[in-house]
Amino acid sequence: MRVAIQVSEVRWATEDGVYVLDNVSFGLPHDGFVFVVGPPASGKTLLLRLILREEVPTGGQILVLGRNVARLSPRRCRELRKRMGYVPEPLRLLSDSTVTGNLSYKLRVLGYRGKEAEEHRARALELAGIASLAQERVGELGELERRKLGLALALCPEPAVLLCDDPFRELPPQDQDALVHILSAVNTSGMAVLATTRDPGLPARHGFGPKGPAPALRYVFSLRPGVVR
Amino acid sequence: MTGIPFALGHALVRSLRRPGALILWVGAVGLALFSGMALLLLPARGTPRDTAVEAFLVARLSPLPPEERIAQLGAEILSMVGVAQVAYRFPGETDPVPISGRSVVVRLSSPAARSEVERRLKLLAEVVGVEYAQRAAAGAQVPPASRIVAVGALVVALVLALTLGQRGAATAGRVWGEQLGLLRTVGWGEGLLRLPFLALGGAVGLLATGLFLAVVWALWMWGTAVPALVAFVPYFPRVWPTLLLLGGPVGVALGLVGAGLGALDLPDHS
Repeated sequence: MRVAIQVSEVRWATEDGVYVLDNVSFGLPHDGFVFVVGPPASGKTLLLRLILREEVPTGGQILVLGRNVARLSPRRCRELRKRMGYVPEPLRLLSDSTVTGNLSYKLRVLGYRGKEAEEHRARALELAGIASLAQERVGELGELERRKLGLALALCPEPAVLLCDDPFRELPPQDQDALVHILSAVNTSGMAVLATTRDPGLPARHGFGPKGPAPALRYVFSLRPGVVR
Repeated sequence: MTGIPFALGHALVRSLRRPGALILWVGAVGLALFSGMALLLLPARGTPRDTAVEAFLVARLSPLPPEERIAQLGAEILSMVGVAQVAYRFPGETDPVPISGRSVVVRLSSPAARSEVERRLKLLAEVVGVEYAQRAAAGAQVPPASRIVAVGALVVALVLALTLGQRGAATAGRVWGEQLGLLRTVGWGEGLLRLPFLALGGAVGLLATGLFLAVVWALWMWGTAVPALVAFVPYFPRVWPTLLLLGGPVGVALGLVGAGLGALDLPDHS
C-alpha cells in the first residue's frame, strides 16, 4: 500500500513545555480517506500545519509524498505545496470576487493561465459541486457553498493530497453529510483525503471505524488534548 | 515562481482603493527629498557654495553674420560643455563688461571651463575675438537660520515619510488581507508575503522621486518669477547630477523602509 502521508512519532511542544502532540503516528494511504478527530485544542490544526511545514515538529518525522518535509528548502516546499490542497479554517476567500475569480486568482499565482487554468477550474468546480455557481459573487453564497468554494480552491490545481481543517464546523448535520459525500467523491477520483473534525459522530455516521493495527484505507485517528511534562 | 509578478501587480492595483494614504505617503517622501535638496542649495555662510565668482567669455562677432546664423550660433555655443548661459549684447550695454561691438556673452558653469570653451569659440568663423571677464557673484541673501530650519524640515519630513509609510503599508495590508490569506494557503512564507509591501514602498519611492524632480524642474523653468528663489535658480544645474544620482535611490530607500515598518506585523486575518 503506497502512502501519501506518513506521520511517525511526531511530538510538538510549546515553549512552556506543553506537549500538544505527543508521539503521534499514522499513515494516509495514497487512495485513503482519514478523519482526525479530537476536542478543541487537541492539535488538529497544528498537525495539518506540521504536514504543510508551516511548523516544525519538536521530534519525529513527517513524510509527504515520500519527502521529509522538515528537510525541504522553502522553494522545494512551495513546489510540494502545489501537490497538496488545503482547506484552512477559517476559509481564505476573496469576498468581493466571483467563484471563478477566486479560482483564477489562485491559479494565476501558481503560474497557470489560459486553457490549462480553465481545465483545472472546471474540474475543481465540478468535483466541489458548485459548477452552477461559477459566476456568483462570494458575498451572495450560503455557508455550505462557501465551504464548497474553499474545497474547490484546495482542489486547484489537481493536488495528490487534500487536507481539510474542520470544514464541517458549525454546519447543520445534513450539510456536514453533504460535504463528507463530496470528500468521498474526491477520494474516489484518486486523491488522498485527510480531514479533521471535533465531532466523533460525523465519521461514524459514514462508516469510518477507529484506526486498528492493520492498514486500512478509511479510518478515524483520534487525538488527545496536550499533556504537561 | 512565475505567479509572483501577477500577485504583486494585483496587490498594487488593489492598493489604489485607498488612494488617500498613498498620496500622503508619496508627498512625505517627496518633501524629504526636497528638504535634502534645499540643504544642498542653501549657502553655508550667506553665499551659495562655490558661487563666489561668475566667469564669462565675451565673444565679439564679425560685423554682418546673417540673422539665421546668429540664431544657430547661440544654440551651438550653448551645447558646448561648460557653458551655462548664452546672451547677445549690443554696443553700449555693460553686462557683464562694457560692450564695444556686437557680441555673444557666454556665462561659464565655472572658471575652470574657460580654456576649453575659449578654444572652441575661437574656432567659429563668426567670432573675431574672445575676452575673459569675471565678477563676484551677487550671493543669495538668506536669513542665517535658514540651514537650521532646513535641517529641521528634513528631520520632520523624514519622520513623516517613515510614519506615513508605515501607516500606508498597514492600510494596504488591510486591503490585501484576503489575498495574503490565500497566498499563505498556497505556501507563501513570511518573507514572500512581505514582497507586495516592498513593491508598494518601491513604487511610492519612484513616484515621490518623479514628483520631486518635476517640482525642481518647474522651479528651474519658472522659479525666477518668485523673488525668494531668484538667487538660487541659476545654481540648480550644479545640483542636477546629485539630484539625479541620489534622488531615485534615496526616494526608493525611504519608501522601502516605511513599507518594511508597516509589514513588520502582517494582518492577523491573513
